[in-house]
Parts: sequence; C-alpha cells; structure tokens
Amino acid sequence: MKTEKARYLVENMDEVAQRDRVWLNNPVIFHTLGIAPLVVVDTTAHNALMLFAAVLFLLLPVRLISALLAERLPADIRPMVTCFVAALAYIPAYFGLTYLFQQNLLALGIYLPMLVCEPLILQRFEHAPDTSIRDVFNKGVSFTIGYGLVLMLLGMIRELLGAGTLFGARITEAGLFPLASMPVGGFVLLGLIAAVWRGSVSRFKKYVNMEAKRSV
Amino acid sequence: MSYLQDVSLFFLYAVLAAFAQNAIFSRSLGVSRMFALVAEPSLDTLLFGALLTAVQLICAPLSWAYAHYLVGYLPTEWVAPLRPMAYLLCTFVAIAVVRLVLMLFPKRLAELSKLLPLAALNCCVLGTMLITGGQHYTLLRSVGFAFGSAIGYIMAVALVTEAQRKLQNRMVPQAFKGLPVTLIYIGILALAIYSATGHMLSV
Repeated sequence: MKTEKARYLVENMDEVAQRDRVWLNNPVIFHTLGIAPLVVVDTTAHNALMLFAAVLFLLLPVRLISALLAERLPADIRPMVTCFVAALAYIPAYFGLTYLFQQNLLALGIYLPMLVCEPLILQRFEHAPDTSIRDVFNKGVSFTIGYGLVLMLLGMIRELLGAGTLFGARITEAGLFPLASMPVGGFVLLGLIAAVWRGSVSRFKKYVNMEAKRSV
Repeated sequence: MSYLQDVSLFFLYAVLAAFAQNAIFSRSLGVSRMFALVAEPSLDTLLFGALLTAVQLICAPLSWAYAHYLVGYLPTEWVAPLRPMAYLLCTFVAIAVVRLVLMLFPKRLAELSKLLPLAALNCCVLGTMLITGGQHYTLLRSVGFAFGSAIGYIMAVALVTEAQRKLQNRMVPQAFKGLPVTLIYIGILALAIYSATGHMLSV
C-alpha cells in the first residue's frame, strides 16, 4: 500500500468507514441489521438471490421517500409513515418478484412480507437524517450491496454445507453439516462469518496504521 | 366444560409460542431489535415487554378479523401483496389504543412514547400476525399465540441480556466479542429448543 494512501486512511478512517457500508461498516456485521431472513430463509444461493432482489426493490425507494418526508413530519409519527411507505413499496415489489421468480418465491414464506418491518429497511427513522438526497441515495446503494454480499456469502456456504450443492448443482456427495440449513446453523455460521469479517477489518486497520507509521 | 377447554387451548397455544415456537430462538423474529435492546441499557426491557404484549394482544383479534372476514372480498392475486399493509394497519390501530391508555400515566408518557414504536413496529408483532393468519388459527388460538409470542420474546431478551456478562469474558477472543459470540450463543439455545421440538418449523 502506498504511504500517502495509508496516511489518508489513518487520518480519515472514521469518515471512510462511515461511507463504506460494504466492508468496513457492513450493516449486518457491524449494525446487526436484517438478521431474521439471513438466519431462517437464507439457506440456499437461490434464496439469497431472491432476498437480495427483494431488498433491492424495497430499501432504496423507502429510504428516498422517507428522507423526502422526514423533515415535513413530526418525529412521533415518522416510524409509522416509514413503515407505511415500505408496505406500499412492497406491492409493486411483490409483483416484480413474482414475475422474476414465480412459485420459488414461496420459499421465503413470512420473511418476505416481514421485510417491511425490518430495521434494515426502516433504519432511516431511527437515526439523524442525512444531509442530502444524494447522500441518502449513495448510502442506500452501499447498504444494499453490503447486505447482498452477506446474503450471498451465507446462502452459498449454507447450501454447500447443508446439501452439498451450489445453485442446485451438486458439488459434494452429501451435505457435510446438515444443520446448516436450519436456523441453528444460520445463527452459528453467521456468528463465525461475523467473527472472521470483524477480525479481518481489525487487521486491515492495524496494517494501515503500521504502513502510515513506517513513513514517519 | 367448554369454558375450561377454551382456557386450556389459550394456554396451550401461549406455551407453544413461548417455548417450542419461540420468536427469537425458533423463528428469529425481531432479532435485530433485540440486539438494539441488549446494546442500549437505558431502554427499559420490562416496559418494552409490557408494550409489546399490549400491542400483540390488540393486534391478534384485528388480524384474525381481517383474515376471516375481509380477505374474501379481495381479488386472489392481491391478497399476498396487500398482506403486510393490512397487518400494519392493525398495528397502527393497536398503537393508537395503547397511546390512549398511556395518557393515564403522564409522568412516564415521554419514556413510554419513545418505546412504543420500537415495540409495535417489530418483526415479532408482524411475524406473529403472518403466522396466525397464514395457519388459519381461530380467534382464541390467535390471541393465545400472540400472548405467548410476546412472553417468549421478553424471555429471550432477558436470557441474552443476562448472558452478556459472561460473553464479555476476557477468554472470548477479540474478533468474537459482541455480535459473533452472541449469535453463536443464540444458536446453541436454538439447538436446545430444536432438540425438544424435534422438527423444523415451516416458514
């Protein structure tokens, strides 16, 4: 790593982490958002893909609309309005998802409609509003990518360990860890992924610090 | 005799929802909210639990009425996309009723008003309505399940909060501290419940 870049990162680590919702400040790993669908229905790569599409359809529109409404509404009713916007956005999202995935969508069960109450989608009303719509848009995109990354990673690992397949294609003769397809396995594997992720971020920060000090 | 049968059925479904189908350990409903509660010691868990129970008990008959009387008037293809909206409207009615009752406690109104949206707009509330509506529970079963679901949620929050002291032990590696070790702990408790029920719940 170049010394200038390391120095810039050390001096602005908080700001960089604040912007980076994919790795340094992932919504699942560092903010514990969106855990329920991850643990219960993110059992295959295909389910992960469907959930990712659902979040893609819901998260950004809800954040943008609630950001536009936030300043005009009293704080008391803001949570309800955000939820209502999410439930409204769910209607076209549901038709879009049905068109894309047909009957496979049933695999998500109650966890698809439950997204309208998921703190991942509603987080806008719980924190201070962003300065501009552009910020909201950028953060929304970053949030979606960050959440999608964890979804796909966990879905693929669970499918591989639980059934020995990946996107339905057989990889091993049998699942090495059948419990991976159950909520129990979801909790444990997500815990392990979170530990590895947090450990790697911590090591990256140490490495950047050392690189910056080397130039002094 | 019928009265006794109804009471037993109510408690049976309450116990089922609190233990075998625990909101957190079996269905992972409202886990993100639980982490926020555990991480924020200033939030009163008991008050949160009382508000959650009140909202669940009001929502249960409303969602039952929707599933039994109103769904039939909707075109079939619109039932699924409108489901969250319908249940959210039930939640809004519950919030309004609870808020009216809270007016009786003017000294604690500010604190309770802050907690109410957190308790009501929770995946545990919406998830319970989706389960009871989807599985065509009767009114009594729905109310019993909703009551048990709220009690189970509070118990799970208390268990995880209590465990935090042990999970912050120095022996726990740094990378595992916080979310990772708590998730593994919940996973182990979920395994214990799974071993008692012996089957995976439908989603």
